[in-house]
Amino acid sequence: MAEANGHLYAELGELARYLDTTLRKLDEAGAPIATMSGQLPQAASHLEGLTKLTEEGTHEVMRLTEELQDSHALIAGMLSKAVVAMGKGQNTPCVACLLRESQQLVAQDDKHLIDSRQRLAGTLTQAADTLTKGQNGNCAACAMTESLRCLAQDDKRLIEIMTALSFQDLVAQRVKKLTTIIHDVERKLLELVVVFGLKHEGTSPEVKTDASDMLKQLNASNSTAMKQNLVDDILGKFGFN
Amino acid sequence: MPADPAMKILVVDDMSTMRRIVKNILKQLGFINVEEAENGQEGLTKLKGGGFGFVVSDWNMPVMTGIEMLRAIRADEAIKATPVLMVTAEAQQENLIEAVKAGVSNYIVKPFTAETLQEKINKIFP
Repeated sequence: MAEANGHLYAELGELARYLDTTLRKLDEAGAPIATMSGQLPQAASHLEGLTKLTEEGTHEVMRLTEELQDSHALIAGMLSKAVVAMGKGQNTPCVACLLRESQQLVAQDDKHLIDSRQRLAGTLTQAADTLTKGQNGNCAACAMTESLRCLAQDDKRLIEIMTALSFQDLVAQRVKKLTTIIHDVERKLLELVVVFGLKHEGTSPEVKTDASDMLKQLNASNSTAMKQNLVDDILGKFGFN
Repeated sequence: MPADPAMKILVVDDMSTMRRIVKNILKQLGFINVEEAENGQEGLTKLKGGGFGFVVSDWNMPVMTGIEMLRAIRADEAIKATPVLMVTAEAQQENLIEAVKAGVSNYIVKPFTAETLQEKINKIFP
């Protein structure tokens, strides 16, 4: 009997030590868990912000692409008219005007698709010069047809740019799934905090981790980041021109 | 019968970027009469308003998903014949089978090209 009691006390002692160690470890883990559970909503919010940023950027690229497409449609229309007019042997100076107008439109696009636009602009200039000098009309017609072909190729590229932008939708869908996972982890961490009475933010010293540093940087980029005009204003006050 | 360029088309997607992409490609393909809806519920309401000849829809959307909208379309005598093209990131076989069972007219997986969209439209409107 005494031996059995001794064994029982030894077992109980072991159990008590185990519980004590567990509670101490839990206490040590408490602060990071509590901090982490506090950081997760902010991380989720930044992820959602990422979706918004990519969406805004994508719309801007789309806007510019659509402007190029509209401009191309105008140029193609004028070139086609010019080709038809030449075929009918009509007024060549009028055709030259159309070409010059097309060339001006192309020049507006130069900043967007420089190489391709420059080639096209060169071809159009050549065609216009040929016409105004009264030289071989067929040659000018060929140049215009070639210009139309270039435009059609560029239009295809522009559609490819538009479709490639569907990456934003895929990114947004994945971000949404990640946000859902983060919210789930956050909920489970909060349950741990409540069940085990872990110390939460404010009552425990902040646990400094890489994650907390990065979160601070992200918060700063949202709340304190300066726009270029403000930077320029401040630089101006220091004598920068 | 080939697709009528004047046909009224409804693009249903919760992402504004995707709606704009599909609309742009449709415009390049010659379809200029395109309307948009942000989810299945809004899409269904517009469809019931009448006049639509074709629907291009996403799958995952809030309020009402694309597959729910498809089932509702097929269950509504007035609009049940409207062709529905599903354009979605849901690339699992079971999704495709579910869509086919629900009566989808064709199925495109994102990301996709303008050629794919044109090819599917040609198949729907031979």
